[in-house]
Amino acid sequence: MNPPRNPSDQEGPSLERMDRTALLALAKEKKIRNRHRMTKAQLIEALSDPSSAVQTSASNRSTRPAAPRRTAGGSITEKPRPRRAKVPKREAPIIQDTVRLTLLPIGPYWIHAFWEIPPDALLGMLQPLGRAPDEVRLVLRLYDVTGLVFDGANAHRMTDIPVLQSEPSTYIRLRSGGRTFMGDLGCLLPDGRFLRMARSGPVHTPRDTHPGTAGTGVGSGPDSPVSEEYPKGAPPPPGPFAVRRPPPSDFPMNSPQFWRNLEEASRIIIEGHGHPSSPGGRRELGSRGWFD
Amino acid sequence: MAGDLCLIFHGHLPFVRHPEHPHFLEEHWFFEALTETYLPMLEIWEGWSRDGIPARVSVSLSPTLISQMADPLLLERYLSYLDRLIALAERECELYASRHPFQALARMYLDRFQALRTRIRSAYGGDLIEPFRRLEKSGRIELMTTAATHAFLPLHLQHAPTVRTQIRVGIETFARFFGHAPAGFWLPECGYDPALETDLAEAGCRFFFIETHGMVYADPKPPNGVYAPVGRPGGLSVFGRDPESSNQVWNAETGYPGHPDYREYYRDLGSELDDETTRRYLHPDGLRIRTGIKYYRITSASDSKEPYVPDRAAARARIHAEDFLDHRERQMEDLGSQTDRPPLIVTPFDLELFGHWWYEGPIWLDHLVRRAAARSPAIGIITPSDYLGRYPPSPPARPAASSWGVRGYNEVWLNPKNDWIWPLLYRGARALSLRIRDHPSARGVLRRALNQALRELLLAQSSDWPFMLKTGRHAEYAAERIRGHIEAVFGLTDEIGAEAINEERLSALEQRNNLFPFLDYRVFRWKDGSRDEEELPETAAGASPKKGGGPSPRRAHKARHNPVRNVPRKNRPPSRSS
Repeated sequence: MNPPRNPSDQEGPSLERMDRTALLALAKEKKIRNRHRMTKAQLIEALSDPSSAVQTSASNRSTRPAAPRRTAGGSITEKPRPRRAKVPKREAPIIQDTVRLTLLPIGPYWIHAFWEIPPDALLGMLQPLGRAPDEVRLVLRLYDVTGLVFDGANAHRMTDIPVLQSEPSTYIRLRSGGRTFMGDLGCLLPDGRFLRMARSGPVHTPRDTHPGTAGTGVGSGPDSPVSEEYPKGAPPPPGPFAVRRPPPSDFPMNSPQFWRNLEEASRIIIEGHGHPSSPGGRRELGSRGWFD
Repeated sequence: MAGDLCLIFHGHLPFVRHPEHPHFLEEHWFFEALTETYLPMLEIWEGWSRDGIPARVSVSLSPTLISQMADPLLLERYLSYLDRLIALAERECELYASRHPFQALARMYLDRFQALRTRIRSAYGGDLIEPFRRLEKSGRIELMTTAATHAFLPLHLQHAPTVRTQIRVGIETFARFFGHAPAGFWLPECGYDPALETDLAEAGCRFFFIETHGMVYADPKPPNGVYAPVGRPGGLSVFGRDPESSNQVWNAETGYPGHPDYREYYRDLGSELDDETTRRYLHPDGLRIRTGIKYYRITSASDSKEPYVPDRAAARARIHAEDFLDHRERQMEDLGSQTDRPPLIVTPFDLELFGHWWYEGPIWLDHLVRRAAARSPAIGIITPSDYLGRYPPSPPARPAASSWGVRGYNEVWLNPKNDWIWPLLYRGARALSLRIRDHPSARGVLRRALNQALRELLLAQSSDWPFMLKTGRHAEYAAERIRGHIEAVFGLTDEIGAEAINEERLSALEQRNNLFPFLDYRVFRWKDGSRDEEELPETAAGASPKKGGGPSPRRAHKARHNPVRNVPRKNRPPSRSS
């Protein structure tokens, strides 16, 4: 198989200049299946992918868009023209590499990420580049893709979270709920290039207030997602509730008290003061205490 | 009519069946639940049917609970357990003088246990499913079900076949026992994510339930709040939980079950017997188990307890039932002018609260239902299907992801105490998907092996295990169960891959974990036919193993045969010794 290469730095510009026939010839050389059904953009994407030779269908390629262009310092310098690659459908397989990254939502402010990197996988990826594992940093690249058709480069925000191969999971603290994230697990090379090893499926964090309500999450949590130890029994971040505004509008028949009551009940549940019936809460009388 | 009340009782226990051990401690969860909850509640519902009470409640029975109720081995063991309890109660009757307050209580328990034994053998003919069928036919209860092994579905969404299989196998199990598909689906732990709805709708569900804040934060705001269901695509309706009525019962400090007159749950005779008596009546190994014989009432928060007085407790339960109805009446009056239809108050309970935790719960419910119809205006006690037959749902809205776990989301089932299980569960699911891709129409032993691998995977996915790990109660057993099921999945998928299935081991697994006998592994396929994307997790990324990029065949083999050990240290389950 061809050595993995950073798509944007090495192949991206030249591929863009090629016509579809030339791209098809290149795709044939790389044994990319279903190439004749692809558009030019899809062909570029497939050819740009480090693992393009093992791709098997056009639908898969939509799950592996190119990484954004970055300088050696890691900041985005140019936003490439969005390619309308769809976010993977739920039914589309998310497993195509043997390095795997999975994101799971815990609540509005936390995501749990875990990954599997088979032994020697990192070495096998870096050897053709003449790099050793200790020269690169393992990074979880988190994209905020809320409301987007994510094309690999159009995320609202992108954050690199350093991770360790020996500790294959982390908790990520977020600023606010109701967002959609995707993640890439990969290596950051000394020259700033990012080699993607796996991409997660999209994960949606729950809303913690009404959609469109002013003040959601303001004043709470870090500016960017960060890897943090999950609190043991501590209350969740207190910020968002302190600044919550009333819902934007009510229905004519609802009294102010109607929604105040429901809002208050919701707040009690979410802030963890213990809806008394909550499994896992204080349950002197709780039903799930069956197992005591 | 002021409004309607929708009472929902969700019955669930994890599948615990150990034919390899004649007296398995954790099987007593099911035995206690039968004695204290399921059989007493059946008696209450049968009373409504007999007396023509015009009320209908919803009862959700989990597929694992149904499977245990229908299992001959567990029933035989239960009857033997009941015999031992009867012998113990007889001993207690002889122990106390006639004027001792415990004498009457011991007699009460003895009568109760004997009546249960008679009812199972005579009235039910040894079939615990039949009375539920009869009650449904009589119209007093509407039955529904939940996910196959009560998996917490929002955390399985990253592997679509898991969610679909949990929903479909749950519904199929129900349909095989009750002869029809259920209209309602209880989302385990009220764990909701909008992404679940496609599978629910495709499986033929008509409605499900979510926690209060899931509805309160819906987009757009539902005009009736939680007091009417909202419509969802695919003909689904979603009902929101009313916080006020739930709180009156559930609240640990102020809820009804904490009243001093009620029976004290924690003072069980089982913890007070000497070793010899324990061995003779309870467990041959001398393990202390709960007997359900409890002599004290709650009395106060202190350890000093007074004897339990059943009549006084029953009178209190009736007062509390009236109080509950008074509150609902006022609540409905307040809400009536603010909703575009008579309000519906949805109050779900874990079925096991009644009788087991709250001994007087069945009396409370019985009085509540019998009195509700006599009120003016009457409070209707109806099911979601009844409601949807009368009113259309509120305008469509997209509820927010939520659960009824502490803090309202997924934290109970995913936190530092149980996060090690999730890589294992996902890995097991992927390994099985791969084998299913390779064998789309297996027969004979191969088919049995694939079916059993799926059965083991489903059992590993039960929400009970991460819950126990989180609370620390029976954590060792929970870890053992997950480890055992996942090892079985990897063992079977390896044998399938090597085309060397150990039939003896397969038969042993089939005998032990015998639920879902109809299971067809093909339900676990990727829906869109693109299953060929699955790959073995042990193969290196971006490089062919043959070229040295992947693990050595020996290492890969070792990894597959030691799925738990192969997980990095941080993510390993606690060892047995810990």
